[in-house]
Amino acid sequence: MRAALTAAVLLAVGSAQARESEKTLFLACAPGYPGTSAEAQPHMDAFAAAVARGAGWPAASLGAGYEPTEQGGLARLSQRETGVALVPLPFWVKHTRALALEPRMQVVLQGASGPTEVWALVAKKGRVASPTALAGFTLASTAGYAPGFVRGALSGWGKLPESVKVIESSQVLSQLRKAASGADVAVLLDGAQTAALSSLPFAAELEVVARSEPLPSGFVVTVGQRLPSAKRRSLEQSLVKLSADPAGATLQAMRMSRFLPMDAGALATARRLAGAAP
Amino acid sequence: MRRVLGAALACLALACASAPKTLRPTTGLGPTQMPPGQSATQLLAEARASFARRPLPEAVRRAETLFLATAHGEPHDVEGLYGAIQARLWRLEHGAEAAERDALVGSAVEAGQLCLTRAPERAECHYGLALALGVQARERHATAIAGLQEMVVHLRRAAELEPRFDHGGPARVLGLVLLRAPGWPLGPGDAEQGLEEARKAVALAPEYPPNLLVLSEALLANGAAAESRDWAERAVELARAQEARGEPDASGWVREGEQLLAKAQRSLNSAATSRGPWGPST
Repeated sequence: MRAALTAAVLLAVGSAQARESEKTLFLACAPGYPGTSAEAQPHMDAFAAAVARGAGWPAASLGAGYEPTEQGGLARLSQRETGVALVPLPFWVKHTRALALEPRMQVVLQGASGPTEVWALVAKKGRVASPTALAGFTLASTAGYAPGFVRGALSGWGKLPESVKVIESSQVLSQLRKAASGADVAVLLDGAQTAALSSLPFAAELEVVARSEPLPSGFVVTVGQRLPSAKRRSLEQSLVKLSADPAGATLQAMRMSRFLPMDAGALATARRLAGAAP
Repeated sequence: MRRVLGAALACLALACASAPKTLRPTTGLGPTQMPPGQSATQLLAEARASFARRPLPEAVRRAETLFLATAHGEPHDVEGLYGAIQARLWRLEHGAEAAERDALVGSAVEAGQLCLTRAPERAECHYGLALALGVQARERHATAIAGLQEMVVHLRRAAELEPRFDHGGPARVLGLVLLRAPGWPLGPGDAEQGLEEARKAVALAPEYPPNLLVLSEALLANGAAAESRDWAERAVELARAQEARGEPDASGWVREGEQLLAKAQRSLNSAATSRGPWGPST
């Protein structure tokens, strides 16, 4: 009992010392992903608690939040307390320069074998043999909010005509149906969507016409200089520890499996895409 | 019941991972026995009368007991089982204590399973089990995606067997699931099909406000905000009329309709002022 009381007192002191001004928010921003900020909050709270514990920070000094929209993410990132974020590659490509998002770690999504994924452009079978055939098409994707990413991801295939209209759509199935029915629609799928393509009843009507090179799925980034170096290092160490948790419940709840150190090649690929993005 | 499902589907956040749960037939009805001297028909009538007195919690509890007594006394009963599911889900949505929530969810699912064992071709068994699975998906996140997929199967079967059951309930609830569940490839969500199902529900029971509410929500999800607003207005109008006639769930329908009206209006305002260079999000 005495030990428990001592621990409780120490915790209370630690909490009190975590002044509001020192609090850091870890934001997970994933436009096009399901769920709302409120629904995800219990899992984000558990994530923040686990990361703070692993980093040796007072529990109250780290919070975490989830934003499923680009605008919501930008609003939270503009707040001074948001020192670190988890963002998918399209978001990073679009906003890295304006927000000074420095990649620190790579993310391995649940079900993926590594930190990269290949995006695939899907169209009705036989309709699109080259980029020029897409003139006047609508190109839909969950990443459509970042048209520079979409064009950059497909640049190895060729330059998309200017008349291609890139749109954001979370209703991927609906867009695929339109493509299969012969409408002037092509759909850029991420790795998980591409893997599931063959399960669709109308899959035979569609074909993958282009693939990206392997691209990082997402990054843990620091926002500007908001997080001091020492805190950043302890946070990174904590994320690595969290990845080693055999139960992995905290990350599983966020549909991730682990964090990895930055790979120079992946960073160069991402920077090239960001440099090409308008 | 629309509200039950709405809340059940609202759980679909980051964490709703797949965790298949095998359904198993059970006799887990609880300890209730049929009172001596009363027929199943009498008990059912009494149970329904008691359930109609909601939102009185004691009336719903009594209804649940009587529904269960019917199910106990009649080995082929399905109406008592379906009534018990309804009563349990209602209690879950209206202040059931944390300590009893898990048991209520489990017993609702078990009643649905038993119902299917007794009568695999009765629509209310498929429908009741689907509703219970929806609430289970909310209460036990680990079962969410698998539970939602299973819901879709049972709702489609219920729609084949008896499309008009619960005022077009199978199509209405299927529409909600398709609208609110995570989309392909993670879950069964599909806004276009959700709209189709909502239209079917309205065609089957055009005067039942929850059907109009689902249609309004579906239209909004498919980018037809003006039409969505019109259907929400009509739903509120019908719900107010039913509230005046004493329908116990009507005040909730009015609230939902007003929320949808506001959402549709916001969407219309936003579309008028903020179309970006890449066109509206679809």
